[in-house]
Amino acid sequence: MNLDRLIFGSNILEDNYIRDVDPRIKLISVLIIILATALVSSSVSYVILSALLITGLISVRPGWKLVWINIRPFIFLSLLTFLLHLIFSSGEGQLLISTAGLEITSGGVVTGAVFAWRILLFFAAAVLFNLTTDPLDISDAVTRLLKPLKVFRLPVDQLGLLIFLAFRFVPVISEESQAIYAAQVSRGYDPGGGFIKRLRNSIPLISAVLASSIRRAGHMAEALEARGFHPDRERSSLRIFKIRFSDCIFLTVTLIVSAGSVFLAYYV
Amino acid sequence: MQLATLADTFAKARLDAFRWRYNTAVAHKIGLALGVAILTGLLAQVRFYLPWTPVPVTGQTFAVLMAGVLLGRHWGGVSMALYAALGAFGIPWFAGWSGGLAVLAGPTGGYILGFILAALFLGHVTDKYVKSRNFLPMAALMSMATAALIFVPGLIQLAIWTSVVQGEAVSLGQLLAMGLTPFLAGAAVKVAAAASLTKVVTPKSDYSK
Repeated sequence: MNLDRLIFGSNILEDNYIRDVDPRIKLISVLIIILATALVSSSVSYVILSALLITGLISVRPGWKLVWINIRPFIFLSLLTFLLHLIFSSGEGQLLISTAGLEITSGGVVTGAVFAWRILLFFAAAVLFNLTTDPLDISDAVTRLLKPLKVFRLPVDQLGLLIFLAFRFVPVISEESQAIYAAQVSRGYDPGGGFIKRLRNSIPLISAVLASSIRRAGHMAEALEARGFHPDRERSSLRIFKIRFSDCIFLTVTLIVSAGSVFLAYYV
Repeated sequence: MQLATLADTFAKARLDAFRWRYNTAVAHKIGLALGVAILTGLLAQVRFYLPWTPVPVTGQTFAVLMAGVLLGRHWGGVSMALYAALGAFGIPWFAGWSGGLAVLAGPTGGYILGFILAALFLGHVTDKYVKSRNFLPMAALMSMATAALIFVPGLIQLAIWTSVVQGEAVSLGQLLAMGLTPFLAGAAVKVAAAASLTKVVTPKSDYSK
């Protein structure tokens, strides 16, 4: 496992309950949790949803380092939200600090905390999903869930293939860009100091990565055609998903907890 | 040195025991399920008090959590179904030496039906996933099972019972005060105890082969 960098879909946890839940059910459950989080902004419901997600995370045993690496990018976003709400939310509650035209009120602190918490909940749900679901399963699940939209002539299968190829290419391109970076450095490439300079200096990297990606995509298209792929034909799938009893329990638990948290928010 | 061999013997013994339990004939499994149901009936009578709450903690849900772990897939649920069914036929082994269909249809019947779901779920997970047999994941799974699979059906039936049989609609706050909050501390203690026991008694390798 590559623990130093976050590469999508390369850290799937095996041997746990959530890993084996039908990906469609899992995707729906994550959407339900995110919807519940978006619908309400009360700390009671957030405590319940956090408890659900934390028990879920603990039960798959990711190890603290993996959780930290996954959550780290979003902590900055969460802190930024907190600060923005702290400064700009209109003053309700007690006035805490007032300097240089800035007024920080207790109402602002509470709103900021709730919104920062909401963002962390969003990402915790997504991280739990990503840690336990194969990218292949994700694209399969999306394709199958969007099937009804075929009525509106939406190219669902092609969309699914698109998602799958995108997922599949992320680690490859990431690895290749590292190789190109190393190659350029060995030829005397210097990333530069300031922001503008770095941006300008990154052109040789980006153009090389872009060129190789396009080349790769061309190869992929040829390989697909060579194997008889035709976008409009019906494709069969190696894996057949079946909804089992344990999947139903999983969905019921998420539904009940999410509905309960929404209900409590309006009740309390 | 001697301690190490002792630990090895214990690890081998528990692996053998679980392997036997997994591969044994259906008749044996029914016997085991009945045994665990009886054990649940006995533990339901054990009660002790936590210092900060007047509500007693009974051993019942502890037995439910362990039934799933000990009997494994399907059979944990079977033993709890036996417990509920035989209790409904009149064996007075529900909490407080009560029994009969009236208990199952009464205010606390939902919890007993929840036992079946919780034992099914925990049995499935422990049998299938080796990593889940450690303390933290098991504690997380057991809390999930207690909260969502025992308390939720219990509260639903409690709400239906109070509104239909007693004819008075209770508010959510009253309902939670009746059927949830008094039991939370006890449930946490039981989950911790059951997860520790699971960690000790379950083998840390796959016994299904």
